[in-house]
Amino acid sequence: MRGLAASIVPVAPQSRPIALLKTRLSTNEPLMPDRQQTLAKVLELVEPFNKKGVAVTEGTRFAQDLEWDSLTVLDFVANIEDEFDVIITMNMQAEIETIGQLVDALEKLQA
Amino acid sequence: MTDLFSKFDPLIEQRAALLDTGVTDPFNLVMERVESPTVAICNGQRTILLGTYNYMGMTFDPDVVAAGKKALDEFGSGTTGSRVLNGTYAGHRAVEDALKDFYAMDHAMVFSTGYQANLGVISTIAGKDDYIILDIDSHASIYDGCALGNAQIVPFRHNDIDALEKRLKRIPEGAGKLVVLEGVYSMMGDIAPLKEMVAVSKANGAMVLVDEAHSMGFIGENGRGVAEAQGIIDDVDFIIGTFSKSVGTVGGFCVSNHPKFEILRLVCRPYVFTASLPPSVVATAATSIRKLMNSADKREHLWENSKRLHAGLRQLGFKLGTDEPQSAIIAVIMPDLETGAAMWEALLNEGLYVNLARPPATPAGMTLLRCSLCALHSSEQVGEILGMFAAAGRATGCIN
Repeated sequence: MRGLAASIVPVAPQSRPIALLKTRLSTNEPLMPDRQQTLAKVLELVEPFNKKGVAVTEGTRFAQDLEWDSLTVLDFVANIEDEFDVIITMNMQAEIETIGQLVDALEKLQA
Repeated sequence: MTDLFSKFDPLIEQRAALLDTGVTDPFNLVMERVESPTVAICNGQRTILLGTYNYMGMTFDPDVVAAGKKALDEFGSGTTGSRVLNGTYAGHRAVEDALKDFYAMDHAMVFSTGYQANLGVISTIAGKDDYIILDIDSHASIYDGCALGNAQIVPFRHNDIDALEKRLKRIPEGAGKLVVLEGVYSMMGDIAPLKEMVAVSKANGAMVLVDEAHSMGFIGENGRGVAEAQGIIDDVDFIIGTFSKSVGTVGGFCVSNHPKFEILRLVCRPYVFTASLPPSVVATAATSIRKLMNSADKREHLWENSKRLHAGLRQLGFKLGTDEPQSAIIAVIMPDLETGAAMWEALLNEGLYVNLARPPATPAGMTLLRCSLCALHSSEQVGEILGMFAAAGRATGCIN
């Protein structure tokens, strides 16, 4: 272990079972599973564009519920792309109707 | 039975509501007679044309008209065939030679329309596994070319160099990349920062296609377009253009220095599976293109017209698409479709034709009165045009 990682990871005695080591490592990570984290970030990025103050859930649809026009979609997608460092092509966008589907797509892109 | 037309109901209703106000249908105008590139008779009234894209006024050029008549006599009214079968006449080769000379490029390929040139070239060179990075405000023919080729489409914010660069850097290693840009964007009349955008595209290993439909003949020292004006035409892989604007007839083309360019003639479906242009059309185009090579005086007068109209409209209090005149297009921004249609009609009654543009063709849902100037608009006509805008603007409450 070198650098930052060495200061975070507790040094376990060689004799300890590997499972315990894993448990202890995970205490340094957020408690939320990855998908929940992605969803939380997406919801955060939706808010500046949620002009109608819609209560946003995984089932919320971009076109029908949020009533976004093409320029809003462009700006929102650009923010998502910057945050997750991915590309969401228009071809993929065409298949994404809801917040939940976007989270799924992001999970897949980052896998 | 599901009526396949029910999807058009919202548009049918919007149109009916607009026409119910008693306004003349802005999308159904008939030019009864055309006197010159700048004047026509509409509804029996002499009308100045300020919405034709006839930038260089070549439609009534005596040499151009004579060349068309001669070809009509010598080669007949049409080719009745594809370019790759019986549809290539001497005139088709001649117009491609004229384009090669005009652009100083190795290859030129002529299509039956400008729309088909974008559709054909883009769909043929970028396939399912390739990425097309394009400006969000790109013309419909560019988007349709992307869709026909089934390419991966990556849009970026209009004229945003950083947004283009970011997306280029995220495209998977080794994938084919085509950046598609326009010299002049026809809705607002603004130009692209091609110098920076082409440099960023090349640095990231992308090929570049630039649509110069609205700049040919006018912008750049030799009228080759914005890429020439910004000094980077040699870095552009493909230039798309049209005969239906400055050239003054109909047709589309692509010019390029790519060594394998000619293979497109066999694999490009919108080139192969359609009839070629009539002999009279290619003859008028070739004559017009060669005359445009030596039209510096006309280019200068067109710039004068553009600057004067822009400054005059601004002074009257109209909101314009650009802070400075950047092309021969000046877009007047209307508050909504109803006001735009009323203003359009008031101008027509004054004796002035402009284009009414509305969503989805326009960016950000705007309604625009789009003015395109001609090198043959006289200084007096530009003065008349400003007087008509003042009268119509006051009558409709657009200005005080």
